[in-house]
Amino acid sequence: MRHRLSVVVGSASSRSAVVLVLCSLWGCGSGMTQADAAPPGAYDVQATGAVEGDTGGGMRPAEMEGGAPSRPEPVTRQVTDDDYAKAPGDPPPKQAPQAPGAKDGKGPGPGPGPGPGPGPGPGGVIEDASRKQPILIYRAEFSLSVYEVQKSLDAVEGLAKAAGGYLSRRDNVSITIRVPAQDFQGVVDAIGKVGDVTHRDVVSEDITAEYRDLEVQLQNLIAMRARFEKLLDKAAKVEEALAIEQQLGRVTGEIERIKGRLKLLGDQARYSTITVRFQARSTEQMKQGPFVLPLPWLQGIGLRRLMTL
Amino acid sequence: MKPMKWIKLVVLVSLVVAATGCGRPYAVATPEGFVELSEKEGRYDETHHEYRASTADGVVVGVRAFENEPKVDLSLAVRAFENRVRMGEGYALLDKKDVVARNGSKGAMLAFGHDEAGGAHLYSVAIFVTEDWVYILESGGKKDMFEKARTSVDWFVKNFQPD
Repeated sequence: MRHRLSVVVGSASSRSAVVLVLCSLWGCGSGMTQADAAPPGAYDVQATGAVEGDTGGGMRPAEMEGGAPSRPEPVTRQVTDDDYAKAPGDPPPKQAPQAPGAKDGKGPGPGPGPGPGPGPGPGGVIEDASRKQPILIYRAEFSLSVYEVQKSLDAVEGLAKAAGGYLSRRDNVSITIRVPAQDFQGVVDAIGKVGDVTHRDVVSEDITAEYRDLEVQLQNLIAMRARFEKLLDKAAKVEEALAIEQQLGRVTGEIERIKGRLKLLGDQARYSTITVRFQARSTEQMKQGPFVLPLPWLQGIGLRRLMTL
Repeated sequence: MKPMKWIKLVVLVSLVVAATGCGRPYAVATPEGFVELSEKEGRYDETHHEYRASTADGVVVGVRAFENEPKVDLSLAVRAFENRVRMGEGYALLDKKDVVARNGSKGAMLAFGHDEAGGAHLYSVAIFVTEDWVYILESGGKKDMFEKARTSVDWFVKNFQPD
């Protein structure tokens, strides 16, 4: 289902009411779900009439001046990097440290992850060719035995850099790295050889639906903002201008929030997160893990007791 | 022989046995470069017939014997020990191999690594199981020191003799 909206703006006195009606019709701009949205790749924005920066849609001067109602001219436009590029929280790939001998110096671009899922492109936008493929976020957590920890931490960090990834966090007993999704499986396999793995947890999360919904919401909001801006230009009274500006602020805030979320999701899909901890398992974890028999000779073992002379 | 002489003989034998550790259900030889440590201060596990010896660099070998109750066989004992040390204590399993005691008894040896205060340590455990006893032979020390003493530790295991 596609929302189609025609707005008639009559006399100045009725403009405020129109704004309110417009707002109530659009709600927060997030009422459209993926099911309502155009199929991936089409991005027919008839419902909104315009995309940010597009002047071809939206209301026309004739409408603003109280002309005969008419449908906004359908505009179809692909969302581009520019639509997202200025969103806060730009992902770090371009700043990511490159290990000597890394694949290239440009940072990893879009590409399929370890499974069938592609990662979003550099700007947080899914490339055309991969729009019908799922967007997946990969995460892995390892527990390794506590032996030569610093050396192993260095090795894990080296694996990240060699894969074109980067260090996200490191302390004395754990490390978190981000690696390009396409190298996730290789790095996971390599970490298994760094030390004695006592626990491994690999998770894949499909964010396709959320990502597509957000894209549609963003388009709708951008179009709505363009309409408000035009209405603002035409506003004759201060009250009208204030009402429109209030709505503009709300829509702009929502746009920024969605852009940020898209950026975050895109980054998480492009760069998989791997955490490695070097620690003994807690009693609670042991209850869930391999069974330990209550045998007397299994008590009081280990270096600490042996070396206390 | 008069009763009094019998009593004296029994007491004498008991003292000799107690002094030499012959009450242990195993025979152990102290490797070269190690010194057997006294257990008279009760610091060691006398209930389990503990023996311990150390080098000047702090590489320690030790033996304890536990009654095999409930009954376990070698494979179960090794698996249970591996789970306990590896999963419970966070030790890295570095190696696992079969070993043979001086009397031909078959056992298994597990080699672990672990970071303690002062750096990387190695910890090795040989396990022998008989009908009546479970023998735990432990050895450990700082990685570099342990590597130097590895030959002596291997010798210690080979010369161990369970009852």
